[in-house]
Amino acid sequence: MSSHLTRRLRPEEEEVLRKREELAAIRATLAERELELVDFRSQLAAFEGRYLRQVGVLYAELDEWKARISELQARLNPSAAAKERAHESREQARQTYEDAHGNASLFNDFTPSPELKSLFREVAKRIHPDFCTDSSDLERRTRFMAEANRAYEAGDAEALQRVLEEYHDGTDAMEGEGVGAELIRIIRQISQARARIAAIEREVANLRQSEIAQLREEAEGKQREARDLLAELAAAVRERIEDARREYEVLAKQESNPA
Amino acid sequence: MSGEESRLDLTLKAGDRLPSLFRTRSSLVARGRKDVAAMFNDTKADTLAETRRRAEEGYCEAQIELAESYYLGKGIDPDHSEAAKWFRRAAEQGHPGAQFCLGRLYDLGHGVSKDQIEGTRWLGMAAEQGNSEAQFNLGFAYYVGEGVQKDEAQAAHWFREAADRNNPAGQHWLGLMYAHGPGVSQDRVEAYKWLHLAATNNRESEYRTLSHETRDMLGDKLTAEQLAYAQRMATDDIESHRTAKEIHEKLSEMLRPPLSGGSPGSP
Repeated sequence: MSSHLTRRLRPEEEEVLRKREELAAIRATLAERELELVDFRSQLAAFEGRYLRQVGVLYAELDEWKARISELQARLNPSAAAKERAHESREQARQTYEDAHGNASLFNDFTPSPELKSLFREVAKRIHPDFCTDSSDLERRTRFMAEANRAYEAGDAEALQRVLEEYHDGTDAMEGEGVGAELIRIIRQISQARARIAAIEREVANLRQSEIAQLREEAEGKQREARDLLAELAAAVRERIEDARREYEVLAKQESNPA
Repeated sequence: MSGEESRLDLTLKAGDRLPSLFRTRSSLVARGRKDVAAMFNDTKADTLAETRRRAEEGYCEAQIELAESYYLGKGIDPDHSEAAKWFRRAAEQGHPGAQFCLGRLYDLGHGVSKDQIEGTRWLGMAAEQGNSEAQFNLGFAYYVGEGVQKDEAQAAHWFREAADRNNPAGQHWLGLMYAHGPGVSQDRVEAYKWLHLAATNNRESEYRTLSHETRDMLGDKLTAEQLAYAQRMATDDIESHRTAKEIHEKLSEMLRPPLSGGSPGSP
């Protein structure tokens, strides 16, 4: 009986309900993708840090010896070409040193807890820039989202919580009038979310093509054979450093005892 | 990483953590990748050592790989007796491909003293397990009486087993047997069928052209002359027998058996 008295939803209201559900689902998907992206980046950054600390610094050392060798050679057999070579290899050594010892070498392995992950999901669902309704909102959301990414990558749950608290979501309040306006807003939000998901997929695909991702994949392949690619590479570079050092010593003797 | 910044710094810094993935350091990473590639191309010997280690642990696949490397001189000096040794290890574990190879090494006297009886014994074991190369070779051994008592019915039986497994040599020889009789009752339609199968078999085979020619001769317009050719092919004509034997030898030289289902077993 009571069901007869219930006000029936008008068709457009039904559509709004359906679209809200669709939006909720797509927000969840997007938050998941956003999380995957930030995780993937963090893993790559962590691997790069490991690579730079284990191998990069050795390349820097190797290039340092090479630079010393060409500088010595330029002193032993002075010529414009030798000078030029010495200059180039010194520049290379400086560049390698900078690359190997830069900020990127500081990134450590990163294993976010399930709590941190679900907190990030919450934040991403709430403040995602693609759910904005006007351009001032967009900028605000983008800033918050960037901070959320930073907090997550730093493993800082408190900061992430602060982002969530300080962010006041404006869009859930109705701005336009009536069902029609809401329907339009939801449809736009869905389409923005879809576009963002596609953009994330492209970004992940690009990241996979990067040198560091490829190297990481190769390292994982070796790991399955219970081998450590970075350690093997480091050993190979160390041998070359040893060779370069010996070569330098031979040349240094020539310099101090000219025949 | 961003912890040292102000409590909630909301100035937008595009990709704080990322630049290294896209900028200068990528060249330092590329350098590592290049060295890695060079390292692992230089370590074929390592791979062989790894194969040997696994072979010694009793893995069939590794034993066969090692045997093949020795037989063909892949990355190592060819050594037929080492090849025989490792084929035997896998064959004794019951691997049909290895049994076939070991059987052929006995037939050919490669790495072991030539012993066709021993060869046929190993071929028989592989054939019983459904290895079609071995089935054909066993059929041929029966057909010519090498290592076993000459027995055309047995020959036809093993040719058929091989032919049913889409082995082109088996199909060719079964066709020839149907064309002339001994071992099976003469049946030109059956002969034509098997020769046709051999001629159109997708597997790489020395028999394709030969089967094609023979089949066409057996076709509708079977003249007296063509029939005579078919019969000559099949009877103990010395000339054609030798040709077939050469083909058979050549085929068997392609010692690559289907490598399937290797597993660690008792070393």
